[in-house]
Amino acid sequence: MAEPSSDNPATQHHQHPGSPSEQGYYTGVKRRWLGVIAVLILAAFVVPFTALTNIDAWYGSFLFWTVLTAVVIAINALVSSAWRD
Amino acid sequence: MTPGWIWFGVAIYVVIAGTAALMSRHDGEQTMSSYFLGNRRMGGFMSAMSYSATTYSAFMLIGLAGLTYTGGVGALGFELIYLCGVTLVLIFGPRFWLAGKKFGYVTPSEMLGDRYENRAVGVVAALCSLVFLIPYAAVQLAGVGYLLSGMTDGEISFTSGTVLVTVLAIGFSMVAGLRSVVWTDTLQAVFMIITATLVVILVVHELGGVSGFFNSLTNEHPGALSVPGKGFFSFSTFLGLTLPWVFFSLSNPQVSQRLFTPKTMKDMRRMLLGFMIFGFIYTLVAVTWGFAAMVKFPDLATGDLATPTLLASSVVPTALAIIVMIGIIAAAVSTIDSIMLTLSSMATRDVYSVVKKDAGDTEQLLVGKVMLPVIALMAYLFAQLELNLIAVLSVSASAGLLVLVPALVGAFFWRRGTAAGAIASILVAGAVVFYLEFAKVKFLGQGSGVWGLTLSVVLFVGVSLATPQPTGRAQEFMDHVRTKLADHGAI
Repeated sequence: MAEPSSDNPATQHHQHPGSPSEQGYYTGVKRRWLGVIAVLILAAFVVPFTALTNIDAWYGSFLFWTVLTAVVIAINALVSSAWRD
Repeated sequence: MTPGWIWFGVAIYVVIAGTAALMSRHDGEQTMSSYFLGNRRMGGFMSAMSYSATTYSAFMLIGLAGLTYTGGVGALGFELIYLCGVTLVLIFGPRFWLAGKKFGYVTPSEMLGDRYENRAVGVVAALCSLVFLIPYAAVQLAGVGYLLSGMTDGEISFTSGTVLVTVLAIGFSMVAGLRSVVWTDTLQAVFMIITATLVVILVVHELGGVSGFFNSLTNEHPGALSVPGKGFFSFSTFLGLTLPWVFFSLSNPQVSQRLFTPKTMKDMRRMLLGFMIFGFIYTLVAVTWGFAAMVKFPDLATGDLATPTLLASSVVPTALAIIVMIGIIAAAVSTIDSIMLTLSSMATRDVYSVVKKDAGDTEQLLVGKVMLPVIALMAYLFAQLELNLIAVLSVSASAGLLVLVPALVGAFFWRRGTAAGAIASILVAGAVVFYLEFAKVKFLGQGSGVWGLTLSVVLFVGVSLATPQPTGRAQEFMDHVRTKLADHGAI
């Protein structure tokens, strides 16, 4: 889930993007992260009922849902790190 | 368990939480905004803890643990997908906050009425919330009544338990409005998570540590760690249960109203992330709790007995069992007082002030304070009646409130959305959800939430396209939010 630092809004939040095109660029990056979350939520519905349905152990759906949620929380932290007052 | 010890524990809890409520008071002019929104100046940590205590009710350690006991790991997926859905705060949190600051909204339904340029939208949204949330609060009250009476073999009566929670919820919310709710919530949230986590660690240790615990589940309870596993969590059951909760942070006004309250965007961020971390831990704890009961007591008649049985067993020392029980009572109180506070603000702001158009802020505040015990009393009476209808409304609360989602999303993202579209989507889809739940009909095998959301989207879009686009406040509202979002680094 790593991202090149130049694209990472977390590393940019102390700078006010200057031109409208720059603002649009940063917004686009953040929106892509929302797309990742949407895919993850979809996977949370589908994967345990398909790929993991026969894995009856802690490293099956239990681990999948737990790790997936931790990743979603991390993306929330990343995107909201650009919020400023 | 003897009632004397339980009352002793309750007394300590009441003194500490009551002191926190009194300490939260501060001098100054009281307005609707200061009483119901803490003057829009709430800090991040306390907002996070209060959001957590409000969201997580007695359901977690009783209902979710029971669901795990009955259906296995699917319960974890259900609750964690809800938590992932709180990402909606990332999108809507800054929007609510900006619109609230600019236009002075106190309730989410008031915002809808203003955005759609028709206060009837606010009235309909508020009434929908009242219809579904008062029974939801009543079932919370009943839950504590059953827990106390169950744990003392009836020596503490059902009525005593419900009276206790009602009085505490009224007290915590009336002392200083949102401020006292937030202060007591914070205390209760910290207490809830620490006690529940400690006891789960103890219980897992008793059951052979983490590896022994999972080995027991895998070897002795086949299907517990997969879906559909033993068959309870079919995909349609999972979807029907989970879908309404994905949108909970947006559809339930007692939490969406909190998006108006942070002092700064940084506080909003602390609220969001603090809540997500709290929810992550608390969910894992509640599910582990249910699994522990499955390993230790595999033959219970229903999952609802999992927590009371575990607490009454020798696995949990009596003192810890009482502490956890107080934690469950705290979870119920902190949910109910927030619901009461939100509903009384809606009844005042969205219904009373529409009927009595010249009601000023002072008069509204007075009515709001009178409404608090009235709503609490209604929840209490519903709990006492134990009517089937109440259970139906409570169960359908999350699905019923889902019908508000298209109007809320449209308010920020679709200029073409109209008041007629919003009203039709809430009224018709809400009635359909109620019918499906009441008649216990699973149309085409899907839950009421699936149909409620689908129908409300279709009605909102269809009726909006057939009616004239609002051009006044609606445009000002959307333009303001769009401009300011960029200034605050939000998307």
